[in-house]
Order: sequence, then structure tokens, then C-alpha cells
Amino acid sequence: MAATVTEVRATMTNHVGRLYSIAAGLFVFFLMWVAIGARPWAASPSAQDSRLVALAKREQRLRVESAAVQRLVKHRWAVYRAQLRKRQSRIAAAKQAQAQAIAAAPPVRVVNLPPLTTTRTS
Amino acid sequence: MIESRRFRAMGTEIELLVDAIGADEALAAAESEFHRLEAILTRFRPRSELSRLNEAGSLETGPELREVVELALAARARTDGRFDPTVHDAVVGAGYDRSFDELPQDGTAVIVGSVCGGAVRIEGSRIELDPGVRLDLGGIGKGYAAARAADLLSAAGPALVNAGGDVAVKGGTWPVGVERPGGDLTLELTDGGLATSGRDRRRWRRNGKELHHLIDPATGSPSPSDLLRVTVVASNAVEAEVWAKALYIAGEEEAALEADMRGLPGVLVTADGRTRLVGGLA
Repeated sequence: MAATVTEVRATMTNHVGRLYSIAAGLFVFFLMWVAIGARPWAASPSAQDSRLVALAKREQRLRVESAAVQRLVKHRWAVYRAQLRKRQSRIAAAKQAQAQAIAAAPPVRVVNLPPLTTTRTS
Repeated sequence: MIESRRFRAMGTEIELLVDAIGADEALAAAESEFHRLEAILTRFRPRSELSRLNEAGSLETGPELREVVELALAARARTDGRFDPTVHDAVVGAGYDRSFDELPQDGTAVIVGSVCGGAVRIEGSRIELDPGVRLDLGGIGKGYAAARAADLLSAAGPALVNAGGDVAVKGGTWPVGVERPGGDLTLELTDGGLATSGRDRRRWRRNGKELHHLIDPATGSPSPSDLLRVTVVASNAVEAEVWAKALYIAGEEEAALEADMRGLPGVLVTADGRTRLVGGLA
């Protein structure tokens, strides 16, 4: 009687093994992604330098104050411009009044007559 | 028929002329007005309103002093400071410390220049002077009084008032002589004012140096102008008096330019004896 020999040969086309390999690879990949994404080497917020925190706060406060000063300067400039326009119109009116005050000199001419009176240094 | 009256006030000879008959009342009123205004505006009487203002620095004043100070301050602005009522200390510092009739013609007093141009504020009837500021209205008071007197006289007829060279005319036609080297020039005026300012009359010597009353406010000392005297015709006697002084201080060339530009007829007599007609006068 002839003996039956079954030859079991492992092949590279074992699908189940391939799926396990892929799943294991994906698992490792995501595990590393999470691990790296967590950046364990970075300092925790609580461990940040207190001076940097103070500087950040100061910067924020200065930005707020700067905006307020800008608003104030803008307002004052507008007020000044309005006052300047008023002053300029007042000056123009005063100059006009002065020009009118220096009314045209009355008619005068040189004549060959004996004077009734004489002007001399007062 | 011209009626006239002569008298002395404000340290000079006053002449009133009116073309009317029976104008005694108007002549008397005009003379009284001169004396009344002198009592208010003079710096030579310690109780005058002006002297009290200068002493106190702040005073409730009457309408005349306020009006003259307002006119003087307006003139200071108009002449770019060449006419300035705050020359009091500079005039006194130059030796003109009493009425000209009493002023010694020669002496050895120390001459002190003084800063001019201080602030004067008028609020209502109160006049306030900055510390150290005192007013001298001698450069405008006679013109003001002449104009007021001419207004009073003109009620009787065409009138002319000559306050020591500051002339106010109201109506009529008046030939007025202007002194110049080589013979007087006659100008015919029908209205307004005419005034002459110069250094040929109110002058004196201190420490051998000749001084006069026309102070340049820029230096606080008697002006070293190249003019001897200036006569100006203007719309009224105050304006004429102001511009006569301002043009004198400006000097010949600038005075001629300014008179032409402003249309102020005038006669410039230079220190070297030339006569120059300006402001359209020919």
C-alpha cells in the first residue's frame, strides 16, 4: 500500500497572513503618529517660563492701550482741525475788517495856494 | 467866514478853524473836549485815568480810554508792531519822563532801553496790563482828540482841527501846508486826517547823545530811521497819526513801498534833506 504524502508548502500568497501583516503595520503606524503628535519632549504649559507669560500679558495690554491712544489722538486731531478752521475764518474776517478800517484815503492833491494852517512834527 | 481859536493842550498848540458865523459855542465845546480828553489820556498827570491804569495794572475805565486803547492795539496789529502803545517805559528810559515843556534839553541821565509789546487785555470796561507793561498814548491821543473836536465843530460848519501837526478835517476844502526843505508844500484836503511825525522837534540830549520820542518797539530805543519826518494823509486823524509813526520807523525805502501798497498819500523828508512824495501823491 502506498503511503499518501501530503506536502504542505508555505507560500507567499497566504492571504490571511498578509492581512495580519497589514493590520499590524497600520496599528504600529497610528500608534507612532499619536505618540509623535503628543510631542512628549515639549514642556507642559505649566512649565513655561513665567517671564514669557508676563511679557505676553504686557504685549496684550500695550496693544489695547495703543489702540486707545490712537483713538484719542484721532479725536483730538479732528477737534484741532475744526478749531483751526474756525480760527482761520476769524482771522480772515479780522483782516477784511482791518482792510475796511484802513479806508481809502480821502482825495488829496498838491495845490499852489497859501495854506490856512501848517502841519509840523507833532 | 472862517472863525478860529488857538489854545494850548496836550503839550502842544491847538488850532480850531470853522467855516461859519457865530460858532463860539462849537469852538468852546471843541476846546473843552480837548481839555477833558487830556485829563483822561495824559501820562504826565498822576491822577489821570491812564496814569492810574499804569500804576495799578488793572482798572475799570471810562469809554474814552478804552476806545483809545482799543484803537492803539488794533494799530499795533495793523502796523506789525511798528506802532505800539506799550512804549511807555522805553520813552521814559530815553529821558522823556515829564512833559516836553519841562524837559531839560541836555543832561547826563542814564539811558535805559526797554522791552515793548507786552499783553494788554480789555474785558468789558476793565483794562488789564501784563506785569511791567505801561501805556503811552501820546502817539495816538492827539489824533483822537482832533477827530472828536472836528466832529463837534462840524455841527457849526466845515471844520479843521490842527493839534500840533495832527489835522482832522470835516467838510469844506482846506489848504494845509507841509514843511519841507526848500519851501512848504500845500495839500488840499476835503475830509479825513493828516499827521506829521519826525525827530526834528521833540528831541533832547543825554550824555552828549541826541535822542527823540519816536521809539522803535523792536529795540525799545529811539528809532535810527533815515527819515527826518513823515506826513501821511488817511481816512481819519488817528489813522494818519499811526501811519506817520509806523512809516517813519520803517525807513525811507520800506515806507515808500508800504505807502504805495496801502494807498496812503504822504510826504517823506529824508535826513539828508530830500523830499519824496509817495502813495499816489503827485
